[in-house]
Amino acid sequence: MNFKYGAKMMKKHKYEKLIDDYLFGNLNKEKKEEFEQHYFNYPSCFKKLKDREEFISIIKNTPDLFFHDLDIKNKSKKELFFKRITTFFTPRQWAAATISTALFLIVVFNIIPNIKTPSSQFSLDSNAVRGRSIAIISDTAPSHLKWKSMGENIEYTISIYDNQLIWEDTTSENSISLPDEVYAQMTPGVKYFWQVKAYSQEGTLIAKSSRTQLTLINK
Amino acid sequence: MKKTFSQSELKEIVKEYRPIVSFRVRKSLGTHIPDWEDVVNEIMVNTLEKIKNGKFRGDSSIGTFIYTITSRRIVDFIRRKNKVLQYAPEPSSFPAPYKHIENKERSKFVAKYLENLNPKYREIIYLYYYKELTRQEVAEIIGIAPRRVSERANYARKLLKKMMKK
Repeated sequence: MNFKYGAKMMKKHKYEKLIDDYLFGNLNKEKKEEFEQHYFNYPSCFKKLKDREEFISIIKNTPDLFFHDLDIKNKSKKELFFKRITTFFTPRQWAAATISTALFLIVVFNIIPNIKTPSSQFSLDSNAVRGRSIAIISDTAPSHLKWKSMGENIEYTISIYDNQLIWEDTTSENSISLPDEVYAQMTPGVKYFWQVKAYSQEGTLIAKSSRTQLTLINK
Repeated sequence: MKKTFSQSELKEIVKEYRPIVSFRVRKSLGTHIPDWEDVVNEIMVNTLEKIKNGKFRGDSSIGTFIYTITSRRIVDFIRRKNKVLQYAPEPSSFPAPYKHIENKERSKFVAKYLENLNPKYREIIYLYYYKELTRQEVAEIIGIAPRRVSERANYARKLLKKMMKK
């Protein structure tokens, strides 16, 4: 008599995956009934279920025999979290991440600061003509300010600030003398900033410098 | 159409299905219910009577036939108990408690081989089977994908089985 009903041919894998969930009571009513009906029909699957139950029983009832020396048992949640972070990448991925970070730091701390110096470089904004820049030649505490010419028919607006605008003037030259009354207002040791903006004949902003620090050491 | 069975076939049915019915009853009622073995006996007797009386016609498999009888008997038992007790009997936590593990030697035998397993597999067995954490929780602790938890658990069991067979 054949009670096996061709069990080996059935979708045993589908049900095999459900064994743990069944034993732990994680299946919903329909799935549970479907699973139970399955093992009533396929004794070979029932044997697997029985073996798994026995395995879990042994594990659960005599844990000291099995896990007494297991690190993870004694680890705090913080340690487990750290472990999770450290195992997030494979060693190769960690190496790649380290190299990328190192390169990033080199760029941020070495190359970018070097790009910014000298501080007298003009920066272009969205209104300016791209690809054109002018450099401010004047150093700190000058009696007159000078910058690199951008060609003819250009009008430059020069501004000096402390916390707010203290002086502004325009010129078509690539330098300007600081008026005595402005110079007289400035206090040695205080940080001032100056900026040059270049406009076309039509009044369109072509380029502007970054705000460059200006400090008077002596008058 | 009525399906007939010889005496030896009936014996075979009892032999084959008693453990399955026992498992199902124990799982549903819990082993703390002392009557569970009586329920199993009743189911087996009931099954044989129905077969002898021609109630099994072969429309479904014999497995499904016995499953249906088992399920109904379990529901009846719980209903009857509910009438007597104020609350329904709660199945005990599964698997069965320690007192039902009769063979400690078996545990020692398994432990001997489990010790030789790679810690990464033992960790899975500890978290998944002993602590009963979900796959997702185990995955978060170990730092692997949830899918890999099942794979690793299966592999661990297979390794263990292989070692024990040697």
